[in-house]
Amino acid sequence: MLSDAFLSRLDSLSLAMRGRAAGGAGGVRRSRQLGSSAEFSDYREYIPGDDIRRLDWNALARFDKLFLKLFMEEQESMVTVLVDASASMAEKWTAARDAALAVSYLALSGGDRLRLVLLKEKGQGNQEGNRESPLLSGRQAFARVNAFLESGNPDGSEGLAAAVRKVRGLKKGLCFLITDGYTEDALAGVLDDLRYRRQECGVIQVLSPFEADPALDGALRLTDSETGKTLDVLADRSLLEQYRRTLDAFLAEIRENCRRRETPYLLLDGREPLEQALIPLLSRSGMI
Amino acid sequence: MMTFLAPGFAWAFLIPAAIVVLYLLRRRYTPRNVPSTFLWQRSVRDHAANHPFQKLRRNLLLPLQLLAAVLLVFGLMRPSLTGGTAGRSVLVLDVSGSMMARSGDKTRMEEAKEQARQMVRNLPAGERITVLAAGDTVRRVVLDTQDKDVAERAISELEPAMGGADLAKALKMAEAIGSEDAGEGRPAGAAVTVFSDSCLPPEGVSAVNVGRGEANRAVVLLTAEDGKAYARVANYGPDCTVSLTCEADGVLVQAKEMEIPEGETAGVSFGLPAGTKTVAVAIREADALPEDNRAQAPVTARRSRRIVLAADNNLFLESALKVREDWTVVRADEESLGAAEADLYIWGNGPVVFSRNPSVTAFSWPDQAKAAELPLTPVDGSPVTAGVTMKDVALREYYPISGGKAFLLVGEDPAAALTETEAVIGFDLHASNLPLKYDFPILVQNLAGALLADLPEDQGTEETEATILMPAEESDIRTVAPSVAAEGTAAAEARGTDLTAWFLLGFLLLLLAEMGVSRFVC
Repeated sequence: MLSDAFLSRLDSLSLAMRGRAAGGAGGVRRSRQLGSSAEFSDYREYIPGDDIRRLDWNALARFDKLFLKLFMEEQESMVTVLVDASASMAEKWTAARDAALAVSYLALSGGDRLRLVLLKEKGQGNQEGNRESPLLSGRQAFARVNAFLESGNPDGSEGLAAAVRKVRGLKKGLCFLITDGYTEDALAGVLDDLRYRRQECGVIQVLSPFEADPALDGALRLTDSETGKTLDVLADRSLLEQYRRTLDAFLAEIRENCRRRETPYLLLDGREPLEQALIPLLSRSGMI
Repeated sequence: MMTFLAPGFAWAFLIPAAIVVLYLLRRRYTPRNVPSTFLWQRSVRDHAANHPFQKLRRNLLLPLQLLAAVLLVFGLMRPSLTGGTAGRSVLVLDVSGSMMARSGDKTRMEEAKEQARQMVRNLPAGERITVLAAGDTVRRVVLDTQDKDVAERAISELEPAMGGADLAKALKMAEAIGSEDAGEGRPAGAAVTVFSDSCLPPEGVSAVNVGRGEANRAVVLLTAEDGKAYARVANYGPDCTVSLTCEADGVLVQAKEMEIPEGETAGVSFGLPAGTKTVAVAIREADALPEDNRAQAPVTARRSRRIVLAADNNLFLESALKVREDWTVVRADEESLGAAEADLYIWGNGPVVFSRNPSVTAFSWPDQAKAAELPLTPVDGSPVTAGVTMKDVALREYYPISGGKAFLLVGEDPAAALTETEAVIGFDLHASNLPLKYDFPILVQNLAGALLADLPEDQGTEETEATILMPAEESDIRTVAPSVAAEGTAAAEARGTDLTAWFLLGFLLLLLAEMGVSRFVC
């Protein structure tokens, strides 16, 4: 749960976006087609929370359905927050959830439409699959975002790419992927898939302090919380040094993949409190 | 051939076995949940790739550790290479009565024979072996045989007998045997080893002591005369308190208790009723050898002796004679020597004559004294010098004595001699430090006693052996039982090469190699 002080700091910030806004009404994001007059552009269906002044009453009379008018120079964009809810995220679920809350707040307070998806592949402990929130907009929807994330349970099996593929109705817009990156499917493939689906991506990688710097010693049988597989290791100084080298290489690989795809990237490793670290990281990464 | 001086450490081979078991046992892993083994799998894979000799390290460590452990165990067992150039070995076995004592499930004699046979087996081929049996007399059992079976059979046939062990004579005989090689193109000397339960070996002689720690006491001396019995008890075992009983003509007359430290003797006297004919003294406590716990002796009536002393100002001589209460010493001058009737007459200041006949001596000596360039030494086996060492006795000059049987020598010259009725000391007692020595009164007592027919061996019975007459407060027996390991070392060193240090060095080098592999091959 984010503190009010932190949320008020977020109020002065907005998500950065390079591409054309997907459209919609009532957003504050500037589109490429900014004009000097409010020129009618399009209709879309009414979503609870939209500005009722933009309702087209004629369309209601005609179709018995609520429609909103869209204008060219003020178009909202779609922000999708994909949160990896596999079992490996359990230890860092709080950090992942808070990062998702922060991004969601930025999106809602910026007038963007928001959708959250908890990415889960079906597995032994989870027969649910992905959990998707309804489309949300307006600041008042933040409580629903909070409730949705609170009810989430990271118990999915591995398979990030498959879970992402199963996300339906992705409209062009911003997409924030919050994950630990532990996937046999290359994260690069996931990013390419999202880009293909007209998403402008940002990656927030979350690691726990233990994963960043494991303090292990002796003969250990490590059990994977996602797959249940075990691995016997002799955690001596030599192996721990190797683990750190492997971790550095892994993070470097992800950073490079993001860099190549001009995808903003930041790493939350739990060394600092999230409210202290998140805004500078978001800024440095170019997400805000 | 390799032998082991401490084979008892063979149990330590359990250690290499334990090392193998530890390797075979599956390592116990502590379970630990982690979010994902994704990175750990990569790490383990990369770690194995970066350390290709890890498997080799594991494969090398076990044999190195096993070899190091085996070497250490062999080192503990103290390996020794026996053999070498065949030489000469003399084995002296104590066959005295105390060797009948039981030590565990076998007697001391059996243990000694076992060790002696083992030693014979370990001797190099071609070794000339002599076996001596040291009892009251020293017997040559086997001489210079190169047949180990003959030597072993001879050792097996030895049996102890009641009586003492003349180890000193046996060692002299061994020395003589060893010196026979000199001049025949072979190196002189023999490796002498004594197997006994009470031996203090001189330098150059090894001793194998058997029967350590058992309680064994013995009545080693019993004399009785004129209403008094005197007994001497030896303790061959640990410190003890013994209870002694004295029977006069079969009737218990007295009992006494005494404490005797380990390896020492103590004297005790008992009063006897008048008219007692035989006395028996016994130790009440049972021990490893009960046969020597009782002694019996006839009561002899001591006749008072009269000794006339005509040696000027020889207070030492007079004091030494007066020790015996039944000897009366009368001073006279030489001119009136024959005036008084006496049992023994002593005259002269150098030489000093002891004779039953006054002023008559069958000995002769030169007019001029000779300078004494060598020390005074006793003649072994003489009853006069029994119990004396004559250590550090110096004299300025002496008269070589002709006649009689020598009992003191200066080099090869007899400096004192004895016949049945007279004796002569061929030097001025004032010009030597002999009167100041502890041996002097004993020598005088023995000399006068021999002439007065009071020698100890005339009084002994078949059941007692009184070889030394000393005051009760003196200790006349010392027993040293050096450790078996030291004995073994001495034996091995006399016979071959102790390899213990080499095995321990090998162990240390392997330990170093194991540490190197453990640290650097990873």
